[in-house]
Amino acid sequence: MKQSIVMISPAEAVPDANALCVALGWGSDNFLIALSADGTGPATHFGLRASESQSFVAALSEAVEADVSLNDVLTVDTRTDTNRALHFETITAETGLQRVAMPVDV
Amino acid sequence: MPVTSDGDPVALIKDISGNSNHAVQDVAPARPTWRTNGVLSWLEYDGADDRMVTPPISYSHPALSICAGLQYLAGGNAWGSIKSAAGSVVYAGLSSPVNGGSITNCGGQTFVNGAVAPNDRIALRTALLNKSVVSVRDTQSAQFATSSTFIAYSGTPPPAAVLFGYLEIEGATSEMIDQIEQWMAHKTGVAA
Repeated sequence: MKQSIVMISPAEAVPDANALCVALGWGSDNFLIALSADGTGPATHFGLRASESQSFVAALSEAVEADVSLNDVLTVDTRTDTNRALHFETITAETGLQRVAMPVDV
Repeated sequence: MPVTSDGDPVALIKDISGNSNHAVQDVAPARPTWRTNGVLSWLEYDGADDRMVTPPISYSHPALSICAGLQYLAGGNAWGSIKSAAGSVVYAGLSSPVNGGSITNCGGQTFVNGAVAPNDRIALRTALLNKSVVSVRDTQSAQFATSSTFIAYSGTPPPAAVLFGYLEIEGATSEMIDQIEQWMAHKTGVAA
């Protein structure tokens, strides 16, 4: 059974959050979604969403709990993968954040 | 490692043309997931950060046609494209319905289940909320010589979507594309 994961990190904690993810087997740059309170830059937070195994989620939870400084600032929400639809949007709304809009000339 | 079960992340989609223009995603959370119901299989884009990236491609023919079987999922971002080139931000098929207007697709025609261009962006987004086979015929291949994405629009939040199949072909005749659309319809589970 897969799990859906949403993680949101303050910008200043992203290096530490990425280091934690590396230890779990991910790459070094995972938080691609720029966020802020009003959707304008600069980003104050960065986020991600992924589907992963239960064992990964267990290891993630353990690692976050063991890191006191990260545990204080990192938002981690997991749910069964069958409930993954709009997971990221739900958590960003709950945390009062919006995507930082990028100007695109179309 | 090939996908084996529903929900596995997809880091690599192999180019079966033999030209090694494989689509990749190196960032683990940004990988779409492989889904199957036992009959059909598809890629699912989560609408948060999922996208696949293809390398710069040296097309040998000026006309590039694209056929995809896809469905946008309701909610989330409405940005999307059939193919979008990074940097030059050209696209084929769809950009933001929020902006309205007609589709720009690099000189080609866009067909969605028989509806002929010019398609309104909002109408196309709405049409693709149902499983569809979409073709973009005779775009200018030179526009896509840089690294590009498909389904996700380059440089914007990607849409939540499912992709049943994706095929690019250079210099194809209308008859060839008609046959490809029938094949894609079979893969997508819709009537040809």
